[in-house]
Amino acid sequence: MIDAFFIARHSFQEQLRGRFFLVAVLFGGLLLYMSLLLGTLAADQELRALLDFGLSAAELLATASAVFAVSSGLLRDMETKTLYLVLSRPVRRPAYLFGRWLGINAAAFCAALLMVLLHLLLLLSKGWVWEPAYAGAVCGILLKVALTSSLAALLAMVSTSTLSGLLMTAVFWTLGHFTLEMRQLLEREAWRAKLIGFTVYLVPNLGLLNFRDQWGAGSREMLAFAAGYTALYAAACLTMTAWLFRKKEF
Amino acid sequence: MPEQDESPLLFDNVTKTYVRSHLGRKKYSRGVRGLHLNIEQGEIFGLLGLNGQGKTTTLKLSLGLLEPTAGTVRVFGQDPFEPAARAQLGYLPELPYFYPHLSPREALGFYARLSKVPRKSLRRRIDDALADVGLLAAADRRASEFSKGMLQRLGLAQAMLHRPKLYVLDEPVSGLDPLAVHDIRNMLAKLNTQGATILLASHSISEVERLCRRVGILVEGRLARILTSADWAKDGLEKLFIETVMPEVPLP
Amino acid sequence: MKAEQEEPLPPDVSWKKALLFSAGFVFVAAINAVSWRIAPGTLVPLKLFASAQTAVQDVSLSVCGMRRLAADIAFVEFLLYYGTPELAEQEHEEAEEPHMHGEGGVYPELLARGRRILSLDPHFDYAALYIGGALAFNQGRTDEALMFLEEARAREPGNWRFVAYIAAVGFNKTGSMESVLQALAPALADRDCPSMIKNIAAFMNVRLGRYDEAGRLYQQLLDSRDESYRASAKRVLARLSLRRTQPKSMRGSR
Repeated sequence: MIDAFFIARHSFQEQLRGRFFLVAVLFGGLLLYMSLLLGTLAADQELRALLDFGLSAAELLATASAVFAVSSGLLRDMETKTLYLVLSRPVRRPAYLFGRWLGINAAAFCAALLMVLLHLLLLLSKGWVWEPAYAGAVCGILLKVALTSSLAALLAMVSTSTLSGLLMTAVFWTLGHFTLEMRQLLEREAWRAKLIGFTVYLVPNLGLLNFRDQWGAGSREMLAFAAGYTALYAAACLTMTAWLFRKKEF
Repeated sequence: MPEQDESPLLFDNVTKTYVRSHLGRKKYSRGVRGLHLNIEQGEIFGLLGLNGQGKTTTLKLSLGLLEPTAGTVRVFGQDPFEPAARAQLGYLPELPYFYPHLSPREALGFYARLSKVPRKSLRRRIDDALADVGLLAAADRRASEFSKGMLQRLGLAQAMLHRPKLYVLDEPVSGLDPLAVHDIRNMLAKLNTQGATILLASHSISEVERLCRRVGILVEGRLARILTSADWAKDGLEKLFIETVMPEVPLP
Repeated sequence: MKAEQEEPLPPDVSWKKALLFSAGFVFVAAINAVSWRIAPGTLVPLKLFASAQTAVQDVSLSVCGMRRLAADIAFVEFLLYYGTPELAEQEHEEAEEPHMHGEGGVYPELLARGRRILSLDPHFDYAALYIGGALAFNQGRTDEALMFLEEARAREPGNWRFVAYIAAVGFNKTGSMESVLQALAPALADRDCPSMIKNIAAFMNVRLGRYDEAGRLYQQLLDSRDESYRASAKRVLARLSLRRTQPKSMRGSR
């Protein structure tokens, strides 16, 4: 596992020095600035609008940076043969995969936390009073990033290009926010509805991790449960990815 | 730990067939067939062949990047798919590419850690490797600024870091100027005098002639012929190569 | 090049792959099923109200897991539709109704917009109370207000604010301002009470001659994040303090 740590550290550095990461952080700062306009229009609910906009932006950008890095990173390593220089060494393939995933997530977490820090400064300057639900919402964001990136790794392994991997991940990610509605489809009689609704068993239950939209409804137990769910789902994805990667020929 | 008398690299009746699935239908293509080859300790063995004849497949089989369809590959008596086997070999791919955000020192540091180079000797090993390939002065520049020759040298440096007993080199002098070719050749000779075994695949017959003691010629995935330096001493390796790969071509 | 028949072919691992994915899917399905049962969550399935354009907007944000943000934007759109700039106090006093937002005063989409916001975020209490209050006290659409507030209360049965508002709306129907104010009293003390409701209550107190109570409410409105309410409160407080310094004979009927 020490190999995984070195690879994770290397991936982390690669992300921090990458252009996409910088653009994501700058764009996040811009979004925070724009949120001030929304806040002004929301009158009495200015703080709520700032809160929701900022956290949403942080989540979106952290998720995008992690998913893009996972989807494109492996393919790029294979095409440029940098992967050969790693796998020709005494490194187990699952260790490479896990290390890569870990490093990318660490960088995405840093991006999210940086935006959260700026966001908090903005909120506090506007007179917002700390609520523990904020910490829950941030934890939910980090869990979502980890889960989505593990799914992206699996889909990247079964797809033929970066774009198709990204698209498939985007589909799963959006469906993961619609599990309530999809479960309603399961209750209908029409077989088409049931067929579509059945996919709800496969997509991640992102609503569970959405402590931002369920503001104040979370508890420590809920957070622990959400973390456990994320760990299990991500483990399933990464295990399947590792098996496929192990069998992959270069 | 492998025994001292284990062959550095052994291909025992190895076949590799590629399969591509498309809409449920499978297409097979030949990699290598019935390859039987034993690289001896301390030798430099050259692998020649036209494009698509199985040279790269052979190298990848020795690195565990590919699994044989039949037969066995052994690196110092171990399956190359096992990490312990790969700890003893150093690989230089054709046209090595390094992460553009890293300097050579950083890149070598990363690879050295993966090769289990002890932390205490890390810096010294990196400096030694860079000095051996003539890149010490450029150690802190970005790899993205390097010329092709410099990248090739850096590629050799990363292969040497952990002082492997077996080197697997894919086109080590491809596209280099004569001076760079000369330097690489000298480095390889030096490694060999220090006891390393080298397997190199190349299109450059002249280089193979100068460096190698034995040469294998691949034709359509089969090891058609193995020649020794005594075989080509009289007529030259090129003539023997053409005779082997294209027997219908009349030679002057 | 096709491999010859006598040469070994790569083993077929597709069944292994299928087995792996099946096991993975079963595992994932199991943990999903458990998660629905143990943590059903507080959101409800999305219902689409208002126009096709808003439906696209709401769905687009919902699929990104941003229903609260979608509700915020819907509320901003509501405020732009309904209009927050208050009429001048003079116009206030001369107006037959306590408030006339914008022009004409007819807002047919008020209820639909309110339902849209609550569908996106069932716990957006502020919006629910604001819109319920607007329907009842500004628009005089008491039945719609009661229906809307009852729907909101059904989503949050334990929320006492909705009970207070429903009672106040009921009393408003009878025309008893004192009863309305009594019912609203605990809600007015709430930190998240909409400025509009405080403004209405302050105005009612002025109508009833309870200037001290009105002044207290207008003082609170000075801290509102809505600039129009702050300006309005400042103007009224100036008039109220002028009134206190005037002799009784010079004070108007109100």
